[in-house]
Amino acid sequence: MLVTLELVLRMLPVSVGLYQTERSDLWPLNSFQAHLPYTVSTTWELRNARHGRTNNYGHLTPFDYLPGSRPVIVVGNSYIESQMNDYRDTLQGRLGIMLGQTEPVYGMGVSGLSMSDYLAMAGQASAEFAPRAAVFVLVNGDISDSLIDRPGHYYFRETTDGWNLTLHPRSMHPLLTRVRQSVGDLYLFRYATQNLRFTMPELAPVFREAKARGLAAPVGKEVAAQFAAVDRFLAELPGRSGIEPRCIAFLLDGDRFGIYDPRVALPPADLPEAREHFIRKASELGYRVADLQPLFREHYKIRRRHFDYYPIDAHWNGLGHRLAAERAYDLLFRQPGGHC
Amino acid sequence: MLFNSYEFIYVFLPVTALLFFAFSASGRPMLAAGWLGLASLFFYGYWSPRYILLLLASIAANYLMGRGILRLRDERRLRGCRLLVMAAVTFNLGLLAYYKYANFFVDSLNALAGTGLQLERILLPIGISFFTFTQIAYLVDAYQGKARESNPVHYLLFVSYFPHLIAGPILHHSEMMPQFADRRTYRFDVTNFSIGVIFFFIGLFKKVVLADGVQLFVGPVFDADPSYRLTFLEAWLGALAYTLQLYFDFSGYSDMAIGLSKMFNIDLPLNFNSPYKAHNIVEFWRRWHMTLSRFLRDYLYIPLGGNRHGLLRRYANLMATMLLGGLWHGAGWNFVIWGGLHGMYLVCNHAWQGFRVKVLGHDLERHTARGRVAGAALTFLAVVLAWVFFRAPSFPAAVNILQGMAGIHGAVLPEQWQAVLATGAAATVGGMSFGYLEAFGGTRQIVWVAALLAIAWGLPNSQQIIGWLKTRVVARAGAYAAQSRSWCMLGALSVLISFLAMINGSRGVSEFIYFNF
Repeated sequence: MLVTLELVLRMLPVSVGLYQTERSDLWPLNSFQAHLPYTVSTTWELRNARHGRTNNYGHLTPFDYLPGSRPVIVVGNSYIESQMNDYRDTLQGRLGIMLGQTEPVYGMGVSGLSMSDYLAMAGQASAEFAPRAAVFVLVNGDISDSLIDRPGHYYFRETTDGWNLTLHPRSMHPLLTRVRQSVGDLYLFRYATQNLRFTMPELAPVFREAKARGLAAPVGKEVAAQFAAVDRFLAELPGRSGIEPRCIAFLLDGDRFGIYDPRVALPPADLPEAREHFIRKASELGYRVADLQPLFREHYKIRRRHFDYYPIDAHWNGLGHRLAAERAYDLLFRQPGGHC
Repeated sequence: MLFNSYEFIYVFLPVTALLFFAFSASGRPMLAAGWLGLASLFFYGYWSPRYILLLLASIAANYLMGRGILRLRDERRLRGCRLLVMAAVTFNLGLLAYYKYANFFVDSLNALAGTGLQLERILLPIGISFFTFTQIAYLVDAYQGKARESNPVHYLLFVSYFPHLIAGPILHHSEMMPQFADRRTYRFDVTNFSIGVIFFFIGLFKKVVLADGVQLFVGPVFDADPSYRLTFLEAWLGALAYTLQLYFDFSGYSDMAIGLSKMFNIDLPLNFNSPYKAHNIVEFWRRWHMTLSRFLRDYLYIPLGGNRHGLLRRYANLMATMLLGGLWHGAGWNFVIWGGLHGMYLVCNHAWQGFRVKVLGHDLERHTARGRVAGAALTFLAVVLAWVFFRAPSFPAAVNILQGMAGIHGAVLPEQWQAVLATGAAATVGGMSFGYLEAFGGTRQIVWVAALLAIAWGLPNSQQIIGWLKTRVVARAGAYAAQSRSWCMLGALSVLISFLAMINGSRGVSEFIYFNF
């Protein structure tokens, strides 16, 4: 039966071909392994199937990135990785079109990143490409996740001299690595882990709840920690990225499901105070900031169109990316202080 | 605990079955039955421990009242017996009225009389309608001398038995107790077990793939903003999507319940028999939620007089039965309207049949192919229209959908079709316009609805599939080969069930629709 399932899945557009780069020191700038064909689809039904080839830095972009090319970089998580959209429909794709395709725009989205990873990514991108402007897309959970110690990720850790960016190196037991390598190419495995997002802890809800309780910090401490993470991020970003604040745009995503139907509003993972603090502080420091929530709300009120794959997937669709791209373009290239 | 959850499939079911058959093998059937009862209580309490007490109190009270009824009957004290059965039924209906209908009554009173009565929102204990009806049937049967139970463990198991506890089938005392008492029940039988697993797999497939697959297209229509005027295409596709979701969800649940029970060598009554293939509404009710239909017929329609007091009284009894049947489903006027519509359908159906026999001289046993197709189409249409009230969150929402289905809000086509249609056929379709349809799920929705309709109308149902497997695969083989095949089938189905469980898990919690009732 397992063999039959494997054979059937091999005939279907199961998500395969995207393997994270093995060099953890290059990650997240080097996202997946370079120049590999891939197929991506979502959910058990294999919706939105797309095929492509990773570029030289392992991003889902149909062209290679050139070192030292002074591009505009677009940094984010799976929203910018944008597996579910054609490249031309993404924020970076549209921004490139708006700039007349004369100046490079490099998408640097990697699934699972948070604000702390963006800081590391900015540093890596600076060393490699010397970008002249940057767009950062922050979505719900980006601030709070940047405080969580996750294997393979950067996070803000409180030490005696304040909050510091720290890498938790990825380490895997050699036996587990061998097992992963041997089953990793099975379509059944890829279908379960990529399309169904199956993980072993799903089998133990009680354990999961206990773990969640253990992670939750007292509210007061959480506010202070999220504020500190925001402050650290904003203070370090110009130095790491080599870009002056006026050429850095932040786009803050909103709760779009809540706009469509208040009954399905998503609980905020980031404290609303921390989000407000981010907007206020970034504006004070001269960054360009846009809260997309009012923009989405107004647009929905008039046109009543979704900005994502509601209700199955909150990632932006072409419309969401287009509105974000227009906003980013306004912030960076139509500003009174001059063109970036 | 949900039948489609990891904790049920990987923990509860294996542990329960293992210990049940271990106790059975050790020659202690009462212990095995007790264990099954205990596991059933845990199954119920996993959802909300505080309602275990309510369930236990209901079981204990009904068991004692049943004993009292039987004793009074044996002693020929019929008046006392009658009073006790009336008190017992009142007790059960009172419990149901409090937990299920108190808020509804108060809200209705406030709306009608303009009063401002306040009542704390009462959380509906899951399965209360099912375990209450099961016990009312037992009490009435005890009064009529059809039921006799002295074993408290078997009674506890009869009511709380986990495969049927939450959403039926509604059991009849006479079909369960002999099975609990039968020693053959307490013996592992690989053929029964594998038949049970096949039933369970079919049910899980119906729920996870079919019902949950099409449900994405239901919410945008039924929960649409009231100010949004649903167009013809949106309204019809939404109504059909719900019609199919409900059938595959509930029949899937029933299949899983029947399958689970079969694993323990206990046969539950069938609950569905391809209802959308029915050629008239009377036949529909013989095929849809069959155990509820049986209950309503035996404990409501017939006691009201059935068809024994003339035509008008018969129609009045049908209406009353269906109105109450509607109210049983939920405390809301939309359910009453749904029941009323079905009552009306049944009255029309009986009147039409009477007209055909008496005036036209038709033989109802003989049908033309055209007549059968027309009958099936009309029945399906009537059922779909009634489901709109069943699912709609309010009366205005139902009216909005029905107006859309009638084309009152226009027949706008999706804008994405414009490029294809505008140059060709659409040029001849006068007055057809294109626009953005908020509640339309795209071509995918049409494919889903068409595929599910084809399955509901064209494929055999679960019991037909299993009947075929039994005769072709198991019965034709020798004893050893049949056992080997059963074990092979179990292995293969375990993989497929795990696969479906993972698909289900990828979507988060997905409850069964009938848990609300």
